[in-house]
Amino acid sequence: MKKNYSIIIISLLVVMVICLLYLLLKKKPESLTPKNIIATNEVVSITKTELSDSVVYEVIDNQKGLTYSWTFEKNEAINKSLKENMEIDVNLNLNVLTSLKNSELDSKVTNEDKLIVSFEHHGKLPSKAKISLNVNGKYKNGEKLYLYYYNEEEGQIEFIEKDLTVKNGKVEFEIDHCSNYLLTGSIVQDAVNNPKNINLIIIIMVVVIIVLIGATLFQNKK
Amino acid sequence: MNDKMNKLIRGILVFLLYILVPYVLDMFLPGLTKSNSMELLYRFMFMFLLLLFYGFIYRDDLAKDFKDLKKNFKKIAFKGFIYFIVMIAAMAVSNGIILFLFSKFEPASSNIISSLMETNTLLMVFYVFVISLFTEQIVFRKVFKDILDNKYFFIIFSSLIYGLFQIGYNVSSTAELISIVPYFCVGVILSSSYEKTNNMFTPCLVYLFYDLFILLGVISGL
Repeated sequence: MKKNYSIIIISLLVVMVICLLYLLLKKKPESLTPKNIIATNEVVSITKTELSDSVVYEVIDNQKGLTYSWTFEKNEAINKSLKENMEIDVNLNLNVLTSLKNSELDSKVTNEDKLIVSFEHHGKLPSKAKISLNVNGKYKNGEKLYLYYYNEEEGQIEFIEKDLTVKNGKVEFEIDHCSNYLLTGSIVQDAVNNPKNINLIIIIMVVVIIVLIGATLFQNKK
Repeated sequence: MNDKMNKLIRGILVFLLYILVPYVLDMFLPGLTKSNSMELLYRFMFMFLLLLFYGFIYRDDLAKDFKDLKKNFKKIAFKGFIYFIVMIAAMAVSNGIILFLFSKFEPASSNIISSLMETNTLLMVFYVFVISLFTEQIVFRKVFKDILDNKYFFIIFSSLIYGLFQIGYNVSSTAELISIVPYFCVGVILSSSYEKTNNMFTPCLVYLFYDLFILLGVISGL
């Protein structure tokens, strides 16, 4: 009996020590460098925050009622793009629209919940950027979105990513070049490279084979 | 081995190849060529070979049906046209109901055909009017009719599987399964036309009228 107690006590002590070690060794939250306001006026305010491995630009566009941020991973390409006054050599402005003028996009995409993210910067970015966009009011928290790229040259919509979850009214996605992107709650049927849901097809295949075999056997018995 | 077993084995083979060939092509073709047009050409070439193989498997039945078509062309073509009118009406009504109830979903359409036709016209015309048309009628009508004796079960089950295949690859949630309705209606009409005339070329004619209708729409810019 005594032996059992000692085993329990030793186990508890071991668990406590592990917990203590975990708490001690747990990575402390990264201390942020003071935010640098790199552009501000009545219309747009851009704030830069430098982290150890990335640079975050937060943009508040009062005129368009938009809040979004760009996160660039720190690397040589980004360092080259940074100017002395901390500004980045990329136009960070974007527009969120429900339709795009003078384009075939509206006729190709009939999804009523679509949101077109049109970047003012066009072309390749110095490195991959994570965009965090406030979509509050358009999509509910927890809603999963699809991201498409509108290739104007080819006149086609290309699938980029799915299952982008709206958290705290924001959706995050990664891009490496700027152009017109599309967010929707459902798949765009006319897009290229759409993800294929092979699971349902396999289920259908199995059901069909079982039914056909079953029908043959049943009819043979008759 | 009796005739029923023979039909079952042929049917399962045809059905499995219909699923596996595009899947295998998806895996290997992007590595073979970087050109979208070449990839499309290779894909259609393999699908055409598959259609030829189907034709070889069902050569006796197809020859019999073709003789019947030649003999009763006017009668079969007229019936096909009536079924086509009903099909257009059924699609319009079911799409309308879905759009009214679930505005988020895209209606069943042939927009993808029209958008591809803009870039690869000849290939797409050949694919739509020959490969897709005959392959689908063999896989979803001929295979099921050969095995299922009960005409109502054949019409319902083949239409259900046809509908599931049209939407199956792109479905990401169970709610999206509602978009099966227009395709199910198309399936019911095609299977009924086959059941009524006992000629595999009748659903082919119905679908040919439908494709011509869409092509006219594309040409006239509707």
